[in-house]
Amino acid sequence: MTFMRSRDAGPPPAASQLPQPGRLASGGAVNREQALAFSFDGKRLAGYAGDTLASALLANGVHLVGRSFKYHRPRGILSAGPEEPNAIVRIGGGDRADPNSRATMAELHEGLVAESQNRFPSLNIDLGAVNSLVSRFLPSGFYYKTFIGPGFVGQNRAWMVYEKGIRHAAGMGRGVPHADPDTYEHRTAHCDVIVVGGGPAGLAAALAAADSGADVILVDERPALGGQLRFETYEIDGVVAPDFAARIASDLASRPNVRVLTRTTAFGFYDHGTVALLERVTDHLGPTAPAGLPRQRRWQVKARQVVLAQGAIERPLVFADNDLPGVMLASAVRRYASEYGVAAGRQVLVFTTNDDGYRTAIDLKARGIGVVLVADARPVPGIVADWARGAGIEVLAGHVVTQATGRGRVQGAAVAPLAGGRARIVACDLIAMTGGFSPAVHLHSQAGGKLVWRDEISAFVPGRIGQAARSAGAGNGVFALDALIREGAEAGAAAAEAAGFARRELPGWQVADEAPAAPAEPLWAVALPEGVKAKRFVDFQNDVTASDLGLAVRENYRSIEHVKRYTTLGMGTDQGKTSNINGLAIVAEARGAPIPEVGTTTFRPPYTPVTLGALAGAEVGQHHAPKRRTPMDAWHRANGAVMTASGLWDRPKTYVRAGETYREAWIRETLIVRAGVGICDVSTLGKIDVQGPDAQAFLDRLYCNPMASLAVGKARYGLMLRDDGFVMDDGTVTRIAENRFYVTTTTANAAKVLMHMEYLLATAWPDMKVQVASITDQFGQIAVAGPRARAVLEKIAGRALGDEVLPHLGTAEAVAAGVPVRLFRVSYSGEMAYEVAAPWRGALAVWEALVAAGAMPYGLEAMGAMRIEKGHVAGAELDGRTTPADLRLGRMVSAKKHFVGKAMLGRAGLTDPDRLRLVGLEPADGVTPIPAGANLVHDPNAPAPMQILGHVTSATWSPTLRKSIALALMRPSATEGGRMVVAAAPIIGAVVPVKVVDPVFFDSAGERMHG
Amino acid sequence: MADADAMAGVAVIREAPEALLLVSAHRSASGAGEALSAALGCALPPANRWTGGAGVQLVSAGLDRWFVVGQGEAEPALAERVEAAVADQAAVVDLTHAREIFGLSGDGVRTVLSKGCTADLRPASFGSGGAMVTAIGKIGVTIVAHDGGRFDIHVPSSYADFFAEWLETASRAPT
Repeated sequence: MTFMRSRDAGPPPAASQLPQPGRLASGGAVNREQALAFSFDGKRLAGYAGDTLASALLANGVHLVGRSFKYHRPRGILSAGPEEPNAIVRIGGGDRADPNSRATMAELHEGLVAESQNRFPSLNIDLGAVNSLVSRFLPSGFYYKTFIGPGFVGQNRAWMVYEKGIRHAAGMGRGVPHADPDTYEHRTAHCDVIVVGGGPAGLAAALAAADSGADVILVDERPALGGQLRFETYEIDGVVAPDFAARIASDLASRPNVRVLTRTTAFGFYDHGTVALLERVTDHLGPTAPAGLPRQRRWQVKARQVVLAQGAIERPLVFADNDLPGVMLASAVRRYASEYGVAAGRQVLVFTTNDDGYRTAIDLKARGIGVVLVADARPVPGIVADWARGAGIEVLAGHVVTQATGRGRVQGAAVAPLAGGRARIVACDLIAMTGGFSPAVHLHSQAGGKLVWRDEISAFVPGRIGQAARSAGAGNGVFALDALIREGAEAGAAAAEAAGFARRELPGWQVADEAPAAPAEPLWAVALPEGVKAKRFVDFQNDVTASDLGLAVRENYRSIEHVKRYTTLGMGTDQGKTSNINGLAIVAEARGAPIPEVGTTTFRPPYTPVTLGALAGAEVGQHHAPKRRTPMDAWHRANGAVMTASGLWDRPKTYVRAGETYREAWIRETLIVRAGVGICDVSTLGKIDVQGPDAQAFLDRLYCNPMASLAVGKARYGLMLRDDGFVMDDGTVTRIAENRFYVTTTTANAAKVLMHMEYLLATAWPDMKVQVASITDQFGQIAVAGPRARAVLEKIAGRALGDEVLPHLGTAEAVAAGVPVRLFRVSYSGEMAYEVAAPWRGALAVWEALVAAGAMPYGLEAMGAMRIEKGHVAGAELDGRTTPADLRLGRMVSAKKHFVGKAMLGRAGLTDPDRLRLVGLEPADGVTPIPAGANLVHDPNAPAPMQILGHVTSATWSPTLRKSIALALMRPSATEGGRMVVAAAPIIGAVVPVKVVDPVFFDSAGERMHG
Repeated sequence: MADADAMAGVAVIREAPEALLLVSAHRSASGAGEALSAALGCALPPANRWTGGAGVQLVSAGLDRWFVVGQGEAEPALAERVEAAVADQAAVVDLTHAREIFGLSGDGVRTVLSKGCTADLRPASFGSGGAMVTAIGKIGVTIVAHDGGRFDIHVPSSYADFFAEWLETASRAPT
């Protein structure tokens, strides 16, 4: 924490007044008219509109931005892109804090607040640095080698102590313990060609595809198109590269068949040309973001052809103390100078193995930045070395940097001949290193593409891919600008052609004067100088050094997948973008195997981290799943109903009146139904129309009880089994007409039963002439139950409904409240009961008429109490492990016909007489409630494990019988010899001795439903 | 039951259909489709298309299945006419009460729909005369495309309120 004491009375200086010592006097695409104030670790600083957080920090001379993960070494900004492993900071505060954000990609806005991570108490004084002192005890995999602890102090005692410490240190950044206040959105887009990457190859591809008339989507993760063109100095078509990029960008933006998405990362490439994008809509706007916009959008693009033009990522060089703040990637240093007008250092030493390092040296020199030396590992550099010397830059061929020197910051570099020999220290404040470029093959690999090692460029390039995709440009191993532009144009035209659009003339851009590049020579690691004990970092984010990799190989980890997991190489949030290739090359050398044999680890989405909010989109909170409502939903809520979620539906549990408790309400409802008449909204039941000449035969095969004898105008209960003989669902089947049936299912299984029917008709019995369709939403359905049910129905239907018109298990039509309805006489409560099916939009009128005629509404609590009193099974008993016989419904199973589940029902395990069977329970003391879910045992104090005799499935207070009752599944042998059974639920501390009784507690002869 | 809600670039009218039937032929090439077409006076639509006749739309709903959407004719008469036409060759299910129809129009409609529907909604792929059975969010719907960028969305009645809320949220942000 920096101590800020304001001695002045005045306000803090305006952003435009704050000095930016690292800013070049001119140049860059930043808007020098618009200064922005921001803070880093509490210190108020200024940058310009167009800066990233990283470029603004460098403009302020801030190099120390974090502490490394394991050793807590001081770290600085390494790159200028998404591959950044060091400048991982926390941006924002409160519920909008974003930990582990890359400063190199965060766009600066007014008031941005950033904090460094992984340090305590401050970046400058970090107690975690003690890890560096004991680093020899913390190599890769050290946690696998901690002492477990001697047995006599108990299991794993010592480890239990280490574990807490290791766990605490294992995370990076701090989570945000608040709900996300932002909204996110999903979008789908279809196109003919998607081009991933808006650099020169991608621009050429997009233009060629667009010219042919295809629908094109062009995606780039940066705020503006251009890629490397935004910071290069050569000319295309006579125009300097950044201006050329802007010109092409506005051309593309003007075309109706092109959609350009900037600030958008293509993070995943899935099957069938599906590419997932993350668009950052308002992150760069900070407080000025308009309220109506989502923070980010997750796009799903379905493209007929994919062009991957993602470019290449620069490789660091591996030498002693290469992680000192001030060691940066050379092209990044060039980019900061050219695009942002920032000098990351004033005395720069370039360490290179290829021609690109010289481009940095020459560009920096031309901008007035001191370049002290170019150390080229190649003994014979190309023509670019002469150009550099001509610009007054000293070039040392065949030399390498063996160590970066300085305290907490680069102050010099030890330079020695590659072949060996004494090093001399060269004073500098920045080491710009380049070990070559690795094509970004992530999306290609995610989509199943193979990789091919090309020795001449020391890189993996995309090989065969089984999707309609092609790679172009630096991402395909083509680095010369005019060649990659031509390749991009060809790829775009070929993609459009493959999508059915005739190709037109390709864009022919003239690139001025590129020198033929001398070959790069790979230098995977610089040997440690004699007698020097220092670390050579390969993976900066996870603190994996070259010696860690050597250790892994010595410990016999051969496969690169094992080495990765053992050392954690490439497992950080950067996914090893700057470490994978160096790492596997070092492993290959250690194993004495060629690099292609070692191979790469598997690339998986996302390419860069994606917020969970973007993945969830708008489906959060109340909207995570659709909500279904019955026609009486508003009536229930207006009349005191306490609602509960039942699958996607909301249903009333009970209707609480003034002065009543919840419990009193449902007890009242139960008693009124049994004494008078009640109505219950059962519109949520699944309803299926089954029609056709073979409909009856189909239903007969589907249910385990006979359906072939069901006559027109009659209803029957149906028990449906799965193939394996277990009960799947129960419901009713009513024959409306000769070839037409109205089938009901439980609410929970409506979709499952319909799918089951469709599956059988499509695969097992395609010759049956039957059609099934959901009519759940066509009819609202009302249960009318109680001794006065018939009287109330007769009143609203205006006609007699005696047994001769509507017998038990019969059906009839009527008109109630002006609405044509169908009546079914079926009973779930055990009382005389009917179900009234009314067309959906007329159901409320029927409900209100019933209420006006004296029926009282009851909900799920009363319904549940009544069905338990009658021993009727429901979802808790139909748990997928019970057969009809288990549920005492064995008599329903037809002995004569074939039906789904018949064969498996005969398995020995399902006919075992001591299977769990439905029983009733009452508490032995007559009073204590029996917890649903409790296990049944003989003696809960017996040593564990003990024999479990069964479990309680449903339980209730019975208003009718005025005692606690329960249904359970229990082995018949449990009560042999009069042994006592106890319902025990240790988790809630319940122990209830129970009496085992008949599950039909009330009206065991079933007389009440006949009235 | 017509509500006109104008949100950013999208106008919504929510209505109950006069008549809506699902006709599913028991067999391919049974003649059910031809009989239906003759009875309604509409050509039989190819896959993912719909055709119109006097006061009626015939919408392709899958292999050998169609929705018949009636406008203006009293529901029982249409159902009887259709049942008589297809006789034993097809099942006819009345879904008049099982759906609400959301009529959408305006410049923003395709964009709004793309927030919940993953089908190809580009004008060249799904223009006037198009019909598809698909999903918006997690709700199974039928989309019927008319001239002038107007769409009818058939939504199951129990989901209609939730769908209206979804539509309102999705149309609210500037697209």
